[in-house]
Amino acid sequence: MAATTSDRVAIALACAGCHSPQSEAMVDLTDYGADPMRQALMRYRSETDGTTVMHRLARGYSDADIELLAAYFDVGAPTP
Amino acid sequence: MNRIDRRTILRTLGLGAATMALPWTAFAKTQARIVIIGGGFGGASVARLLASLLPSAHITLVDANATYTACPFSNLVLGTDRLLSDQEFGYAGLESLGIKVLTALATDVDPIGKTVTLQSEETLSYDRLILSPGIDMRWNAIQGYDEAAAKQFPHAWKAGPQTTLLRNQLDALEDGEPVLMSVPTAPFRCPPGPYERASMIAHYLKTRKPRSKLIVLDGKDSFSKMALFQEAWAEHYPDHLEWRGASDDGTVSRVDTAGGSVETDFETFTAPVINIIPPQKAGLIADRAGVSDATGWCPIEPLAFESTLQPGIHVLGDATIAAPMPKSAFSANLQAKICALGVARLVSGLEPQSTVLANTCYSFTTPEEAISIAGVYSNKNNNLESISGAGGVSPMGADKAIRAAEAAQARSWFKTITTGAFG
Ligand SMILES: Cc1cc2nc3c(=O)[nH]c(=O)nc-3n(C[C@H](O)[C@H](O)[C@H](O)COP(=O)(O)OP(=O)(O)OC[C@H]3O[C@@H](n4cnc5c(N)ncnc54)[C@H](O)[C@@H]3O)c2cc1C
Repeated sequence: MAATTSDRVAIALACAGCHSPQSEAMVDLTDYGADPMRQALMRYRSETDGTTVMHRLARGYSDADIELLAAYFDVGAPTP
Repeated sequence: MNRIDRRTILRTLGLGAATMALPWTAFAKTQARIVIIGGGFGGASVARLLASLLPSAHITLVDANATYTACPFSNLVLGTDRLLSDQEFGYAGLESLGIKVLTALATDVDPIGKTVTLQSEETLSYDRLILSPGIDMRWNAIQGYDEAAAKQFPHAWKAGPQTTLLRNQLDALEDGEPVLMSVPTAPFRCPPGPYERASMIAHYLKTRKPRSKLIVLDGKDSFSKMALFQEAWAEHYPDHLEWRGASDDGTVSRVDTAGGSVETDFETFTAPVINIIPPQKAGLIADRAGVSDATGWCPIEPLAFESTLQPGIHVLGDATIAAPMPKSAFSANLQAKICALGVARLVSGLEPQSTVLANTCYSFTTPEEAISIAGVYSNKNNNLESISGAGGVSPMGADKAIRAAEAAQARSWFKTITTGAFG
């Protein structure tokens, strides 16, 4: 089943619990971009000895989930 | 809808991207009447996102108070120089989005006639009702602990005057006198909250009443982030905090306000400051609406958080049975946003969808150091469950820099979550 924009928005809602322009200690994801998002999440997930909150969270996201998040944060995507 | 409008939504979410192509045309048309009871982390957040998603809908938010007092960080008000005013948030930000905000106590819900009754006897009609009423106490579940007793033995589990009362009692304590705290069994609001509070009170005693000690009487033998808390307590508060679990006679069964004491099975403890965190249930309006079950909490389906007992009524936050998600402000805020998307789809003739959910909760062990717990959840197949292999707590034995980094993250989180709810 093809992913819809609603799918991309829904999965990104959790990120907004911590990441915002107000969050000095966590990176602001506004205009973060698809590639940096994919790379960051893949890295967190692959570092099996990582203990930060993001390491612990990234382990819950599948490849398909990470693609959805990358697509959500794709600042270059055309606006339908 | 043009690009500028989408940016508005993205700012509302605290997220940026240009791919936000929700079913705008359908969403924009609906004139549904949506009433929200409770303007805390769940209610304010759901109102905010719905106002963006459904520009033509009529959204009304009802809260008993004109100012919301947040619980997260209220333990720092007890133990440090943080002020209660740092916990207070108003509703002007929501009103500026076109949300009608009523300061009123909702006293009844008619799920058949789809109306809400306010204390003023005014009634509000709705197409969808969203409840995020938080908790109420199970008065007398601990014998003698009722609303009157809470004026002497504060619970401070709803932030506000109760927080001030407990802080004032700590300030009046003579150096050398003991402090008592009672903690209930699960489920209750904020599983690690009592132990963060114990840490903050112990910090207060260590720095201001060094001959005094906090005794925590717990109805359980294990608790959230237990090993991490105990590690911090051994390091920072060996002389100022003693924790007793259920199998060590920690369960408080009775309080005696006249005698200034509490009783366990075998012992009576007397202290000038007694903080009772009592057993809890969903906010009372949930019972009136018929959305709570025999447990006192509200069963929901996990896609749009619609009640399984009353169709058309959604329930969020602490009031719900949403385990394994904890009763936290982070959870209430995320459930609210998922619910907003689901309700926007439902009132536009679309089905709600499944996704991946998460939670992170930070707890302070000293004013400069914090520890965290995280979880990732799926709501596929109408089943809310933890995704195995993910989540967990901060590392044991970590150096101060890691604890300080999580304290900084905690402060950032508070700014983000309160801005996400109140603007
Ligand atoms: C000491 C402490 C520390 C905490 N720390 C954290 C933390 O660090 N991180 C975290 O994520 N969570 C924390 N929490 C938990 C967090 O406060 C709750 O999970 C969160 O507030 C739940 O949101 P809610 O919307 O369900 O309820 P609430 O935020 O309690 O909001 C409920 C609102 O509904 C209103 N209301 C209820 N009934 C009615 C009615 N009949 N009519 C009108 N209005 C009504 C109330 O006035 C209230 O404003 C902490 C809690 C405590 C007690």
